[in-house]
Amino acid sequence: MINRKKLLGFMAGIVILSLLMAVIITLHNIDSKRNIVNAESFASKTEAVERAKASVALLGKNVDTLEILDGYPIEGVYAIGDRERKFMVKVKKSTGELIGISSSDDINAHGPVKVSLEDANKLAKQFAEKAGVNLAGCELTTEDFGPDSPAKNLYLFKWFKVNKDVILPSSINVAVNKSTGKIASFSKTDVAVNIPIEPRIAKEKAIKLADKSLGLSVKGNKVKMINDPNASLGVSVKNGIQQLVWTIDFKFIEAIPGGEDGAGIPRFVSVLVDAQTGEIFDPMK
Amino acid sequence: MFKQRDILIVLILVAALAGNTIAYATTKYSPPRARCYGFQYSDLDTRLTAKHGSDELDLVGYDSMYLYDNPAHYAYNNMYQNAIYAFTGHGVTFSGHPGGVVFWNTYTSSYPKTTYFRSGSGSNTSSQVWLNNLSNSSFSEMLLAVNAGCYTAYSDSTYGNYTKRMYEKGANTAIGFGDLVLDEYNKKWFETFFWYVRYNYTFGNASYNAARDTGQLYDPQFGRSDWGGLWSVTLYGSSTAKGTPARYGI
Repeated sequence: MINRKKLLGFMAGIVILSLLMAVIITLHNIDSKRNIVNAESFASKTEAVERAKASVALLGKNVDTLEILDGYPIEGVYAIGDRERKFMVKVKKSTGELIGISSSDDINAHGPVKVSLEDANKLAKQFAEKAGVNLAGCELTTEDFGPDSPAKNLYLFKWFKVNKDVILPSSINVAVNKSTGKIASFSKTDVAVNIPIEPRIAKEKAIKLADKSLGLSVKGNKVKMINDPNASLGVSVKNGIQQLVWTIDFKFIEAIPGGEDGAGIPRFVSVLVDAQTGEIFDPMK
Repeated sequence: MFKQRDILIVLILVAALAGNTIAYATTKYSPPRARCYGFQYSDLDTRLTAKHGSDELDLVGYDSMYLYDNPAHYAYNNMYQNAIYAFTGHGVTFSGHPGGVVFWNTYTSSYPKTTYFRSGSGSNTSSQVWLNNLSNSSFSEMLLAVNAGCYTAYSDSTYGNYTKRMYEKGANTAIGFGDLVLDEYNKKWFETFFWYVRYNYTFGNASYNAARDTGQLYDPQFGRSDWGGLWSVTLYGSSTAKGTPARYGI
């Protein structure tokens, strides 16, 4: 005879197991659908090339053939060039969005300076607007390339978004040729910030934490600082995850043990400190 | 009629010409040689970076090799054979003056672990070699020299400019950095630069584009907006030369 209690227990077990199976299958289906949605949002190679062609037109130029160049070392980006390598267009794989374009001839063109910084700034602004970029709320810096820089013939205008002294992960770079006034390159990064940007950790504490993580203070005369640590507050984005961080830059020379003639290694180290928790944050992991 | 003396002169001339040809043939290899040096320092590993650069050059026809943890003497003795010479690693200062690069050596016990390839003048020893001890035409067949490290193109009052000196000794194009550069930016720049070289962009374009692209990638991750020091990329010689087809410099 089968015990009634045991039978009921057995049936209850089957019901629970079935329910668990149903939950697992449902979750799997949801996950599969999510993957399909993501896959559909990826720009195809054809779409990316078409986008690239339209972008070359933004520079006032035409190109017949564009191809995706394999092996670009920066992930998540299609690098698209023409056969003569006059252009380079970068399109985001996930959205098909244009993130960069450059014209080789206009980067290479050297000649007497015919365009003033002020006029070049106007040209850069006009181009950014034509490319659909809103510069409202952006701060402008002009990069000063050295006399032996490969970009010495360019004015580089960098607009980056700042809110309450926090550097946001959105920027626009436009390079203008000093001689021809033509746009040599354009690139943009645009990320909507979705985290609070008021830090709990003060700047001074962040510097101390960063210094401690490197052990600089305890190394004594083995380390010679080139300048005082520089701290800036910004939003770090990696794989879509945002974090408010103090970026602490240390520039120093570290003595090589037993090194000849006072040999040392010049170092530029940037330590990121989570501005809410004080934890040291590695942007490469 | 030729005199015996005339025949002797002709023979000497022919021999001299043949000697030159042999010397020429020993330095210009076919396919042209490219060498990328990377290191496993205690705080920085550039071995894979060197391999990436080397792989790109291999694809366009160079006899390309990546070399790990070799002493500076190895590069010093062999770089005259290189169409492309590339270093990725640490720069070095002496009493605070920038003056070359560090070759971290675990390859051979014949030299110390820390060896220096220095700009300026001095006597070669087991731990250091000096660029100025090479003849002024040492790099006359070098198409490109890349020194990816901090201060490698800094013009110092005591030691001069390491990268510029390579150009002055014959490299058609020499590229380095005038300032300090963040390690991760430096490594990504190196890989991206040689990717552009592989696709036949000019050295000027490749060096600028690689700096801009790396800044665009890493600035949002590091919460900064300054390309991590890559704006100081410096180029001596031809900015419009290209690395393809694989060839020696002239």
